[in-house]
Amino acid sequence: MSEAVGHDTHHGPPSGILRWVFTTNHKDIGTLYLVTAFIMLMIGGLMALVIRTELFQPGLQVVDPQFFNQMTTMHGLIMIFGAIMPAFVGLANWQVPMMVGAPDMALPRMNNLSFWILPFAFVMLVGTLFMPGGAPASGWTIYPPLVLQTGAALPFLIFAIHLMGLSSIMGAINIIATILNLRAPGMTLMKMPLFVWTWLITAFLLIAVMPVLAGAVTMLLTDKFFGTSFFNAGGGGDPVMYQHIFWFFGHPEVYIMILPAFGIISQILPTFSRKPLFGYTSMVYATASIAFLSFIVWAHHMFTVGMPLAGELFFMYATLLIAVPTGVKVFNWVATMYRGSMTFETPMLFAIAFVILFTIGGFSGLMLAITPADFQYHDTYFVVAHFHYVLVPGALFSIIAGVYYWLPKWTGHMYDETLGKWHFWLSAIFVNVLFFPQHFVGLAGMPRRIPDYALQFTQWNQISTVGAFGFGIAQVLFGYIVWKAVRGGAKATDEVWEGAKGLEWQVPSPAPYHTFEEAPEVK
Amino acid sequence: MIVMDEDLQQRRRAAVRTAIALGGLAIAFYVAIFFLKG
Repeated sequence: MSEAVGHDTHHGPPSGILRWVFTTNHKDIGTLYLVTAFIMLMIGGLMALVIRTELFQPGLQVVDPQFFNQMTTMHGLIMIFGAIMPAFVGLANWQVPMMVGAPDMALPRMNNLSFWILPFAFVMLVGTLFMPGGAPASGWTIYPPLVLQTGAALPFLIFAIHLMGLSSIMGAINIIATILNLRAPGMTLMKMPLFVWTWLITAFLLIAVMPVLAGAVTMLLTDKFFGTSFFNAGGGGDPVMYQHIFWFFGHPEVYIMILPAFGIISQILPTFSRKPLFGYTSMVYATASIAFLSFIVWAHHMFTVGMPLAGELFFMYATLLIAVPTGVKVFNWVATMYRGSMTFETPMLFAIAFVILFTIGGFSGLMLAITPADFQYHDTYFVVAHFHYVLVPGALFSIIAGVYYWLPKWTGHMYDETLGKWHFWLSAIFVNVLFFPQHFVGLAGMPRRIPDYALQFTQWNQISTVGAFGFGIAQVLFGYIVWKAVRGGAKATDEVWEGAKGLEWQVPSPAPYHTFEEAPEVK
Repeated sequence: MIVMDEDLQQRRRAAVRTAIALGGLAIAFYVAIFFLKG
């Protein structure tokens, strides 16, 4: 069938709101994901500020404990499912087709559906705050039996999780189908940019674990409304079973939020070091190893729940093993920079901060992996400090770095470098003011998810709260910088960055609405 | 209207088959969870 009809290439994007509703263009859908992720980042960030305001002083100041618990729960769910994951999918939508030389995503209509499910899911999720009984308050892990005490919000929460999972699975299928089937001639798997590799592996993780979460929350639904006893000990079920199923999803989920970050950093560091990435092949194998190990470490989240000694030892050693491929990556990033002609534009600054601060989060992860030590640290603010180091100066910084890096290609304009540097330094300073003290109060015994605390934790909590407001304001500045670059600015060249390599830098800036309708040759 | 390259057509069809296989895998994982024994 040689006369199949494709897109009309001779038009630009249609105008008006319907462009965004009916678009099947990967660039438009990427933009929709990124804008939505930023809105959710602001909503989740406001919830974080409610939490930090309450914790500014010991005692109950601003909100009642039930609402505080709703804030911790909603903050976690919104940041994970509403901000970090959609932002990475947005970057994948924009970049993966351009990086592999494909004209678009393999399944453009499904791409549209994947995105447009999300606003409904997010409205339902945030809407639970206004329902009788309030939003879920059990923590983002939604453990039974506690979560079954949620009021009218429970089925809405579960349906929202189903929709978000469905969206992620369809997005992941699209990314795999695009990478496996639509690569340009000559683009072998081992020539693919690292961002594409990390997303390919992440997409397989998503397909493996999102259905597991969907199954777990379906069982919660039937336990609550249809008389089943999957997790009800009184009916022959097992609440600990939920924890095992949840963390079988939950731990790979951590890598879903960090593997694409590794990919972005692996694109940025070589560009601004003006050297090829050190150890490309080992980076690919390290990514695959991390993905494999992520499936066999889940019970390190449950050491204090109780398990046989052999189980504790297995999950401890398997977890510690993840440090090996992760160490390979950090070594390769440092080796890439070593003796490079480095320059320090904003994407590079965020990438270097990522390498340093993510590694701090990795080290505190090693501390938590040691079973006897975890009995001390579990459910303290040390855990909060650990995963925020991985997710904020880790995942979020990589997203910000990626946006600065590719923004000139998307908009055709350079962003304001001075404001970008201001954004970086404010973020880098305040993120440490915000999260580093949480290590200290955690090690001293301050529990997480509690609105009150003992007097001796006051000063570090006050410093942390100051950091939270500083970091939040810095991200408003980020929104302004991006908006300003979209509106105008210095014209970007096609290559944009002096050391940039890859197919995306060979198309004009801004990237045309349709790219690579004739596949490029990759040598 | 443009004529889509035949090779691209074939690869798009292969992509649909890939997607169907992956979707089936996801559904299988979802169903399998209900057969776990505590």
